[in-house]
Amino acid sequence: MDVKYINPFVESVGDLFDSMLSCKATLDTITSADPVVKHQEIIGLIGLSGPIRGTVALIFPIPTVLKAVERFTGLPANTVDSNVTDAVAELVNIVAGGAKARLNGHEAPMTISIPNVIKGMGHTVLAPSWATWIEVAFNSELGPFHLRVTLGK
Amino acid sequence: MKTLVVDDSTTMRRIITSCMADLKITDVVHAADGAEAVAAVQAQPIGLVLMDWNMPNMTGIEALRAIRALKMTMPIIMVTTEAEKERVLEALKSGANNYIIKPFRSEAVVEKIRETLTRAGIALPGAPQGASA
Repeated sequence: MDVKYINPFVESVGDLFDSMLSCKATLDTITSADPVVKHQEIIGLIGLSGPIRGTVALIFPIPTVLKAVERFTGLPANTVDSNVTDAVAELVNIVAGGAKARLNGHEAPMTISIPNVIKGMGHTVLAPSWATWIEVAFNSELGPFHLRVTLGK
Repeated sequence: MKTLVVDDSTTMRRIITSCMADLKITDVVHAADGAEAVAAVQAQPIGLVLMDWNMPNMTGIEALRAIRALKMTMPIIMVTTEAEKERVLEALKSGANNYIIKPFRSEAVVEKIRETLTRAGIALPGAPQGASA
């Protein structure tokens, strides 16, 4: 995957946390991702299509997602319920939208799919055979989380 | 003044509604897609619409055009991740009065609503009669 596709998503995550979660998201590491999700986590997944296609995921440990959703919505979040999953879907939608706007400056228009949210542990999230997941680890005052991107032409 | 908030995300509808409480706009109705929005504006007097773009069933831009085709002139603000200049222009040409890009700070939403209502000569709830927003 061309690394130029990573920065728009990293910037978009930063924008989201800064404006709607009132905190900084600090980039920690960038690596190739292990497709197996080892811990109890919430994954917001969204697809992009067009001249550039692929998938974006925001992966939150449960403690982080509950704090993030509380900050995002202003409402208490004590358990992963439909309010939390709806919020995660919107978070990944906003990240993808922000990145799309940055990418569209350089490429032809892309479209974004409806987001999906997955909860669980011990499952495997595989990329298509032509793609490689790149994982960006973030830290924030709400806790750690990951961004995964796989994009290509 | 009744305000309509249109977004397929329950979360985003709640967030936008919460932002408007700062302006004492509390008479708020919700719609989850463009088709519900078009039905809502025909069913009751709506003074302001905040509309997402990408929604199932009918998009926000389609709903915007449909509402304007009904000769309804209430202010409509698009609230969307669609940030490209071409999209903003498309919305304004289709009849949107203002545009908010997600992610947003709540203060920005408040200011855009105030600006939109002022331009339209509409008073905020609780404002003295004769005073605009």
